[in-house]
Amino acid sequence: MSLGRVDSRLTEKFNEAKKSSSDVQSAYGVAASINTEVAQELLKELPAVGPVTYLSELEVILADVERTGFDYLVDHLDVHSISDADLAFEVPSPLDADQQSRCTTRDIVRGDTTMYEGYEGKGITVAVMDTGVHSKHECFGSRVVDQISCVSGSYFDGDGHGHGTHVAGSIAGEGLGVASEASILDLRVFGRSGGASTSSILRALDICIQREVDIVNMSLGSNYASMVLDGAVDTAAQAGVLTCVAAGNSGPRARTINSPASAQFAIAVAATDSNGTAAYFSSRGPNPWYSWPKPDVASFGVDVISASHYGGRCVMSGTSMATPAVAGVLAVLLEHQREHEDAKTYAEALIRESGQSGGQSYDAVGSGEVTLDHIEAYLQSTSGIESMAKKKGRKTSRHFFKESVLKCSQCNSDRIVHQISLRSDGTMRIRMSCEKDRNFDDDGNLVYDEAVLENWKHTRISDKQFIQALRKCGGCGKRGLVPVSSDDINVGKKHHPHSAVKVGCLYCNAKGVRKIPTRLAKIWM
Amino acid sequence: MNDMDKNTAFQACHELMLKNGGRVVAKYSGDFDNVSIAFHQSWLVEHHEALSMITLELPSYGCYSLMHPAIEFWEIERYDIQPLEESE
Repeated sequence: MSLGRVDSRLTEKFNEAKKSSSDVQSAYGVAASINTEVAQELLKELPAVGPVTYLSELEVILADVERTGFDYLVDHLDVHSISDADLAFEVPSPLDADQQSRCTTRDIVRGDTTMYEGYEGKGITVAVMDTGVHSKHECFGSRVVDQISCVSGSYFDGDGHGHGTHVAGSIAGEGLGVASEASILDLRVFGRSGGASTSSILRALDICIQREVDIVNMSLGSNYASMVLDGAVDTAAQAGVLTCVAAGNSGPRARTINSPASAQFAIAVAATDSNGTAAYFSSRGPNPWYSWPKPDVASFGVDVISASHYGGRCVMSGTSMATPAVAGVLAVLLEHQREHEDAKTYAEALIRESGQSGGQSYDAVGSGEVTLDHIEAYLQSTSGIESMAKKKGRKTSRHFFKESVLKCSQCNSDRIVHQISLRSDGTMRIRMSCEKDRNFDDDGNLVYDEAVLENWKHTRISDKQFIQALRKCGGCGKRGLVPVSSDDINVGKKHHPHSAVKVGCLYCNAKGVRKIPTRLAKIWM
Repeated sequence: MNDMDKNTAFQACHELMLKNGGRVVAKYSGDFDNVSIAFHQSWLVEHHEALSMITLELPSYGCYSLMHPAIEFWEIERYDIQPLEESE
């Protein structure tokens, strides 16, 4: 039910009392939300039955009033909303032992991992953009490092809804979350009305970038496409903030992904149950607004036990609950790869690559369900990242190890390509070394030459698409021809099957213009 | 993501003007100083610096300022973004 400024159920009660005989109750409990500045004046003047209580933290007046008192509140311009204070709120029921042992995000997503044992996201900050976090909940200890209201107007400490506390618990709650030593930055974007504005989201993302937050969890969504929201999420992602966004709860119909999950660089998370099956409610791809595929990954999001804002635990479902699982995994991976110079790219690549779909479609679960067990299995199956470099043609996400030989433009000796990577800053980097003139640092490690192709906008293309788009070079005969800049691409009209594209060869540096199918050219947009 | 083309941008500004203006969020390119001259200071509600975005409260006569070439795209501010908890 949608509630306006005055709770319609309360209005009905007073109307009923007016019509009925005198033996019917005529005074009811009301909760009125007001500004602090006018509270004292209103406390004096409100015609109430019995004492009036003012909750200064919540900026709410509680009183029993008759019709006159109710009308006074309705007419008072500084009263934001009037609700029925006699409503019985449903407190989450205590959980049985079986549920507690089975359905926390921690149990499902951490599984039996040995590789990441002892890694709990220590030193990693995850921003939770939500309804607020009940920071005094015992599962957080003192790890809620800051609480900022991004909602215009006043702010009260804590979580009046419960959603944000549940989400934060699944990320970093002790015994509940995947990364139980990660720090939480509470960014409140939802006001009392329940909805969030575009500006509050932008305010929160702005803070994430300025504070150089590692990961942001956005368990929120809309029923529309927004260039502004998607653009802001992409900007944050390109600034180095790993952005986990809920795919949406509009499934199981196809093409139900909306902003900001539809953003190109967002990690859009679908929900699965404890068996890894896509939840019926989880929004499905394909991406209705853009050409890139969504959702990206999936994680556990059905009947999830986590922290309650009343204290204790409660159960919730939704892609909101799946998103913090991925944020928690990222925190663990970042801690594990702390020394890695490009830990964020590595962690994101692992998330996107290692999921297990169990035969379900990409539109339902993206590349598959993310758990630490799956990541461990993935790394073991490929004998680890480092050894993958030695296998010709093997690849990790956006890293393409070729170990191919080409000629050095300086000395004409053999030149070895060690790695080609598409990076989140929009560049493509090629690491090479010259066979004849190899340089080593003080520790004896090979120093690479690095060629950078800038202005690549398509860093989220899949490996399959990348390989598909490589064309055979007329100069050297190798399959190494790629578009040299996305700005130079001239995609043909809808009914023209081919497009003229400026290309360069990765092997022999030949450049030219090639006609390639528009279908493939669009991959590079 | 495509920028608004000129016809779309003009049409959108015109429609906003017919609605007597309103609160919009716009993405700009380049320096803020370059784009800020297009708007009266009092119209600027907030500057999201790290995102290169601004929130503006535009009167009807100020809507065409959004045609400034540094404005990449803009939207009317929305208030219906929701938490994605699935209700039983």
